[in-house]
Amino acid sequence: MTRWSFIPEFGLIGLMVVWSIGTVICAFPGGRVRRALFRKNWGLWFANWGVFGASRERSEVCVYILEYRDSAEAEASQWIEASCGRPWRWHSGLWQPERRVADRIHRIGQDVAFRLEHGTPAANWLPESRRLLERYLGATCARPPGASREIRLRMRRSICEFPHDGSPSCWPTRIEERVLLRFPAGREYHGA
Amino acid sequence: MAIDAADALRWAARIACCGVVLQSLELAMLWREFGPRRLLALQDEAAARDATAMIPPFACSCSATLAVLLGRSVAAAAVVWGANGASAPWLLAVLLGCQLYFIRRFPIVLTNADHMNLVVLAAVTVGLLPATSEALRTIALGFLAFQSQWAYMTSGLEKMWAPQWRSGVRLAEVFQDSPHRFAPLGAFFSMRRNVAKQAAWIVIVGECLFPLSLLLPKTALLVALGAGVLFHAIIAVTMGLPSFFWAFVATYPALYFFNGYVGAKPTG
Repeated sequence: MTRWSFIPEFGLIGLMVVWSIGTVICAFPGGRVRRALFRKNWGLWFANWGVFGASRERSEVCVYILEYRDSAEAEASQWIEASCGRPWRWHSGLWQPERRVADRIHRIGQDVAFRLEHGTPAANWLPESRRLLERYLGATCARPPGASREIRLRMRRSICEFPHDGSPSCWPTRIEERVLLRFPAGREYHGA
Repeated sequence: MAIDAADALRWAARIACCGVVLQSLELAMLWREFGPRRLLALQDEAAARDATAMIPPFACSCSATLAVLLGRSVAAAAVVWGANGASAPWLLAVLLGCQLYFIRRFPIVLTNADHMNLVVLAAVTVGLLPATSEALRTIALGFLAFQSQWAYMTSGLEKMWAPQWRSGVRLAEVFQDSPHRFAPLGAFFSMRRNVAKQAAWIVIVGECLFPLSLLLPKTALLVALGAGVLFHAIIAVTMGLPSFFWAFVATYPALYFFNGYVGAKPTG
């Protein structure tokens, strides 16, 4: 140790030791320290691969709206974006080959324009999704232009895991349902 | 062939920075999505709160984000070409700051690889600072090696405990019907469940046993590391996750260094 004093060098060593201990602690679910770390939103700094058993703890159902009425994808996207605020979530990794990024963005209107998450048992996904969707639309969205109070949607079921008490990892399934939603009266969307 | 701690850290820095350059440029090309109400805006309220608690709101704007990404790619490219230079540690410190910014600014596209990148950049920054002692360099490499092996092992154990992985079903699903799908492999594994099961078990066993590579003879270690490179390359090409390739391969110099360290016979 020439220019470094004793204290900074040991400080850096201590930091790495604490980081490593935190990584180990955060890998095991249920511990009091881990829970405290995640409650403070510090857990993710320690261990994004803190996965022991956690992925089996929480598996949730997500819904993607695949089709809104029979309108063009752009119209649906525009309505959802402008009228409903920011309900979009995009989970695919960005670091995909360009063709996939472009592909994903192109299909936003159909594929990932809108998603709801809830902790519903898989068997109840459809009625629960419909209920939540209605509640969400009623609470946050204006009625789409020229639409009647009922709109048709095609929804896709997706399983989401929350392995790190953080960002979910979603797995779209092939299970789809067509649903008819009653849209709340009163507000109408007239463009951005 | 043995390498010293400084060389191992420089190689780790070079490899990690290759990934940083590509990642930054790839993301910068999507700059139109950074603005408000766009795909890569800070959408989630909680995420936005977390991010702005650490970085000022103006630094999350479209132009500021683009500037950080471009600056990050230039700094990383400079490290790739001049890892031996005197300025490399300071560039790495800048990149470490950028990585912290990145993790807060883009929670929506964050992967485990980005956290591993943070670990690599922290370790090489500490290890390559001008006055760092040999002992601290070794500890920095040990930190890197531990994080890498822990990541592989936890990932392997997680798969081992999941019935869907053990049966090979999840592997087929990943390729067939997930954001990282690759239709040809998805169809292949769906048609051949036994092959899917065997492939899944190869991944599980490989990940669980990877920490033992530190104890292998040098030649066997090189084979194990080569298998690791191939594994990440396949994931990068088929699943579109190249960031894992760079982040995890960047830890391999630390494993190589420690393999020699563990196997070294005391002299005298």
